[in-house]
Amino acid sequence: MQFMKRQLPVVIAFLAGLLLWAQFYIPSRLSQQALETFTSSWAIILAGAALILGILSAIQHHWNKVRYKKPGHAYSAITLFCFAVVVIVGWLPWHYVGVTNMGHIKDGSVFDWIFQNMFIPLDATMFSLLAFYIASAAFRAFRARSFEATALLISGVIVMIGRVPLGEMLAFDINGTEISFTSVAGWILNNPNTAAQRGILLGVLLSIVAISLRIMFGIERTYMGGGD
Amino acid sequence: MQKFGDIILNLDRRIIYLIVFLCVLLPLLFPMKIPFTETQEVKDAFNDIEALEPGSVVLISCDYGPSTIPENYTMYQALLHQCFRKDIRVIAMCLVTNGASLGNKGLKEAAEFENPPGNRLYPDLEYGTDYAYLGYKAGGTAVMLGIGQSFTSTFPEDFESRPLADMPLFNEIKALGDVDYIFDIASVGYPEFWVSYASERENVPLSVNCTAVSAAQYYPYYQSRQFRGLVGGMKGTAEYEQLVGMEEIIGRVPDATRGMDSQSAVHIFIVLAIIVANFFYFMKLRYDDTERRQA
Repeated sequence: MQFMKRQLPVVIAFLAGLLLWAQFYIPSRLSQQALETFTSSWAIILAGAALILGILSAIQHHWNKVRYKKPGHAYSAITLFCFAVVVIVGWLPWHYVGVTNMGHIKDGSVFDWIFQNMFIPLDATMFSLLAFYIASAAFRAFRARSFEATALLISGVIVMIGRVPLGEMLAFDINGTEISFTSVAGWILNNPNTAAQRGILLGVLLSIVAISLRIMFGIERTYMGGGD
Repeated sequence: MQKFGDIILNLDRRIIYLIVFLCVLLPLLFPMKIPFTETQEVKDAFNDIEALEPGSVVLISCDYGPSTIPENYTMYQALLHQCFRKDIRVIAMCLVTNGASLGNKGLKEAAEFENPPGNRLYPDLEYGTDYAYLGYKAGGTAVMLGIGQSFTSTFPEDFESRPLADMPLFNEIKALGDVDYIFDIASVGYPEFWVSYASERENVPLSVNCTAVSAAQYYPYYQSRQFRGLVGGMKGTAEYEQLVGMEEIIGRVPDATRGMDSQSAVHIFIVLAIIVANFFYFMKLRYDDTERRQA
């Protein structure tokens, strides 16, 4: 049992990692195709399983909140109700019971109606509220307290003005060269920003290599649960 | 002055919300039509599509949800009109759960578009021959690898359950390698995966439309030419609409372009708010310092 719980996952992780790594060094179309067929099928199966796991976990979380009347349980009840409605509407084979144009998620179905008339406006509203919060937060918290904060503030202001049409109109003539907020914003995005992003990207990728090696050699075992 | 500063620094957030609301609303009601030019990142994407021969195939991945309709859906429309106008065939698909219907809606809207007199703009377009919508498939990168092998085995049916094998388009276009161009319209972090798992592997050029928030992180890919073009946020989309000539095509000011005035007003307000708040913040610090010394 201990072998199944501890050693076997490490063996599988090592072999899967080795296979994917080795494939990059085999310059053959056949090798690429074999790997792609294998990984694409397995990854789709795993993504489907993860989706089910996520749904069950969310249901359990909200059900427990409702059951034990924890704070905010009313929102959990609404979540569960909406989830049930959407699943029933999306899954029920309406065409079997003689109701046409309601099956699955096609155009004109009830599911589609819910998506178009409820989900889209609600999702768009949630995202658009960000503009209000950002404006309020910028007014309250964006202070030039240190050199770093000042640099961030100045570049943020330039990019904000430069990324709207008004930024093009706000141009200055410096030694015969017209410099607009848009051109300065473009320079910031193409130079300091790109340099920093490359650094971050390289750091992240090197970390991924390190963590992958730790997983392959069984040093990192937290993915199995239970710590260590 | 100190009292006024305190009032400003402790301004009720509802007043800020109201000003932001007015900054969005008023320019929509009374458009200023501030002119703008196209940036090189957007021109590169546009020119690549323009350079494709009639009959070429563009794969569009609609990796966005309803929350980013103003940035992504508008781009989808502009790109589709550009393709259909040039007789470029389109295969669209989706890698995010909440974007599947939007991809279908957008494709139908463009393909069946009727200009103001009520004539179909592209009457010869045929579903399955000139365009197709594959819908959503779970798996992300696995789907990219899958279509690298075969469209029909990864997506046996399209969004409306029609078999792909019966469509003339997929008799010719078997896998991603047969496609001429990939355009990822994304609000999530899929663009870099399109580079690793699709564009570089199959040697198909890729351009990206992303949200303004994520545009900054993609500049390294644009500079290395892994992204041939980068259309960032609603401003980038407005530039693309201008290049495509969407106003002439649809007979009204297109949505992203219409939003530019509001975006200008909100950005200017936020910048002014930051400057004013900082001014009074430092005045207050100075005043407090003077008081402390006197005490």
